Amino acid sequence: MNIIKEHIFPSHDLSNNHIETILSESSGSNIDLSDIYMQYSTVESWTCEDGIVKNGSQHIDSGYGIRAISNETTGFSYGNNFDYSEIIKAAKLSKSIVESKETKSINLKHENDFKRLYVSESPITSLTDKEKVTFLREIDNYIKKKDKRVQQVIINLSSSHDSIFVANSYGKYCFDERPLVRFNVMVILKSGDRVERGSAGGGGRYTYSNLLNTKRPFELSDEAIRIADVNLNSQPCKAGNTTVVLGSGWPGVLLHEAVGHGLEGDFNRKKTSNFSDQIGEKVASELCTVIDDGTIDNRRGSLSIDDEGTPTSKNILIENGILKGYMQDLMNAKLMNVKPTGNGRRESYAHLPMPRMTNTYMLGGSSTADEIIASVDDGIFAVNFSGGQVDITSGQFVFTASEAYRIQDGKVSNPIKGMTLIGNGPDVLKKVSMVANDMKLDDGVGTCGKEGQSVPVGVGQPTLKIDDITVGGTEV
Amino acid sequence: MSNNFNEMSVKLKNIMDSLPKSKEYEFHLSSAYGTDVNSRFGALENIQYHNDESLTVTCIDDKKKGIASTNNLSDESIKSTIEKSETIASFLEPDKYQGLPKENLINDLDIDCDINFPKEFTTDELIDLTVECEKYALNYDSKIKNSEGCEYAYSQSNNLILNSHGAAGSYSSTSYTLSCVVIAEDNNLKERDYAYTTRRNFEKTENPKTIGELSAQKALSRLGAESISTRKCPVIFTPELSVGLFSSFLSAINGNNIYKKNSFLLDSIGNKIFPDHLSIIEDPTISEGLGTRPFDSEGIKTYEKSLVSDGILETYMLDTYSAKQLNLKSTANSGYSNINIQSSKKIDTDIISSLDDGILITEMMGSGANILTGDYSRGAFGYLIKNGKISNPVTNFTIASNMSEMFKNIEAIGSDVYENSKIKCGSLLISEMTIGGN
Repeated sequence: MNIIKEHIFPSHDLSNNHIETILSESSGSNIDLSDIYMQYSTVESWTCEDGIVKNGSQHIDSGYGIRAISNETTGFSYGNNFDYSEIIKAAKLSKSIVESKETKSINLKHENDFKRLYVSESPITSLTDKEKVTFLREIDNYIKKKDKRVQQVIINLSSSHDSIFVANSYGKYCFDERPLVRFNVMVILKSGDRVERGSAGGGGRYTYSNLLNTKRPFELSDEAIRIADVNLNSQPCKAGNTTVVLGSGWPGVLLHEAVGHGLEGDFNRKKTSNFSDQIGEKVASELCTVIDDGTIDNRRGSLSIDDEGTPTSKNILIENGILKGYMQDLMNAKLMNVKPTGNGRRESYAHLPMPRMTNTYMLGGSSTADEIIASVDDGIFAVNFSGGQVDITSGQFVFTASEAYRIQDGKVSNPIKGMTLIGNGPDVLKKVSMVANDMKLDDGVGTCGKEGQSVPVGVGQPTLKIDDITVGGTEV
Repeated sequence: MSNNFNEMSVKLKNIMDSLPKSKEYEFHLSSAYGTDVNSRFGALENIQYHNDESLTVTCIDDKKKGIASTNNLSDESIKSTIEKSETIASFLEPDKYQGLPKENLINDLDIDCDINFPKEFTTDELIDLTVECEKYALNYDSKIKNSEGCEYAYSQSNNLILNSHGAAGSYSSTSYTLSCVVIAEDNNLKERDYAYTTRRNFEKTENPKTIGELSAQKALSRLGAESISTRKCPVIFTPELSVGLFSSFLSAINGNNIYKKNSFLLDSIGNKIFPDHLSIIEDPTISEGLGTRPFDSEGIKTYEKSLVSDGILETYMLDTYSAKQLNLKSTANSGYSNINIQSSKKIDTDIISSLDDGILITEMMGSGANILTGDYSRGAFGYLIKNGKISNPVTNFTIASNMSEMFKNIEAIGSDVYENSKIKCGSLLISEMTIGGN
């Protein structure tokens, strides 16, 4: 159910005619585009810790944002009082970037139709609160029975449901309802003097049953224990340059950081990206084809429409090493004279949209993961990362591994701790020398930050080999 | 404090008084309004008018804690938010450590703690400040060829806490931030850097010329950075990065990480974790302080205290819940205020001149500070130091150690205190870290 359509509109006597007048007030001769975004968001979170389901919370946030764009300038105002007169005030304020007070008549044409990639139901009401508590207890018992070295277990189950409405001065309008579920487990194991942490999680755009009625929560719990166990035996990492094999799935976060951000339209319009003005040029090894795809059913990074009402699409960013295109929102697409790609996203009604990734991944190649490991005499196999960051201007990126091993004589040997990878995005992509046929998307846990705005994203990649990258560690 | 906020405070107080005494309740109301202006190449890029408010209700019923929040402050919505917190609590399981604070509670509304300096601006005035600042950056050197723009952000915030044991406190604050990001280009190399100033009082912000020129200098000095060989050597952290290291320290002594056993500083009270010359004090009362606050997030009166004295850890930072878990008392640290890092060791010259050979670290990337094990491994950018002087820029390397070691290896702290953070610290000289390079 769309709460904007079913509750906010009727309770505030808002109609399409009112929306047209609001958009007229924020439009005019010097305004290229104006839009209104309304959102009603409910978020809940349940946490089990010390064997007790002790924390529960629910947050409701609703409001609208109105934007008026004149060439490269944007006026933006938002509020949470849906009274018509208040929204009109916000519309006028947004347009204050241009001197002209003149308005422009707007006709909302038919409601946009688009393919729905997920159910519209709210995960929050899909289970009773009691069932959520019972589930967390079950997982907690499972983990504690499984391993006696467990010192601490923290399990979190959370979900959100967003009802959105977006209408713009081109006469386009649409509604979307977005469910999002997330499950997370963190365990701390102690053995002798050592303590190590392991965590795992998963989720997507669906209701709780898609996750809770499967074996996934138990598999993810096993995974958290396994990672902590591996790290209990980890040894210090030797610093220096080496060959690194990245595992499939979540290590695709490297692509997200090393390449993805640099291919966002705003940075390229402003030519502040390391990839600016390089369409058609070779920016990676020919083994690399990189895609951003917002259209995969039920994925955490997917959206039926972006936050400007553009249906998302499957966009090829790099094909066989050649740069093909950037990710765009409406404003940057217009200024760069290209088509919008359905990448206009915002954290909430209180934030401005900008080009953002959805699910970003590299296509599989022709090697196998075993062949890749066997080809390395001395190097590192990085299976999981805890986070990363990029400077899109210099291309410099950094990742911290949460699970990594040494490779010796073509075989995976001891786990290593505290490993950081550092490199330059374009540089590293050129050093990709083998790509396996095991492309995998992550489990649905990614959140991307840009200019203070967080949005859910997906990443993925096959196992791949990078020749010569700098690794940080405490041993020389 | 705005009339609306005061009216809402009174209304919430009345609602609080009418709630059943068999349960515990806490209300937290916050509101903020302000304007952000961005300009780039002398033209306005964005104006954003902010206007946020939110009410968070906590209900503890029979040792079970439910939390609900809303940004709709209508009577109906407030009522349903309270009910939601009660419903959530009813489904949870009892936790003997739950409970709202009952002692040392604030009882003073509209407190003036010298951090509220409202100022009326026209939008044009804000735009002019950003244009001027960016102009100083762009005109600084012909190699400054691109800009991500300059931003001015102004905001006024109001904060109210009420609990059913009598806590009632509120205060207002302002903040003014000017920042500038430019890109230096030379020989197909691009480097970007920024400078900013953030203060409670508009009159104390650094001027547009200082910030503009500093952003340009920083971006320029990065050009031509080279890689570096793997080694162990002394490093100096800029004040800004030192603040980051101490923020990891504060997280490791946070009661919530201690009782969860998620810290490398478990059982460390009374232990020497820093060198003799280092002491750390929390002072919640500093005039115009970025962290100044009369009460903590639970409504407990804040007070000045020593966290580290002559290198010895004196206390964890505890809120009511973690204190009960650890059988201790709250230190009014649901959050923290201003933190002063002090050193009794006086150095004759500035900290860079004191070092013959090493690396000045000016930027770190990635999230490689592990609170559980203390392992520290991050990507870095910096400058070689030779014979006490800053020499060429270096990039594409990592620095690693363990925070326990790093803390003990702090040889000296500079007097160049970082003003843009509630953690006040100068440059740090750390006697040895591992550099991972080529």
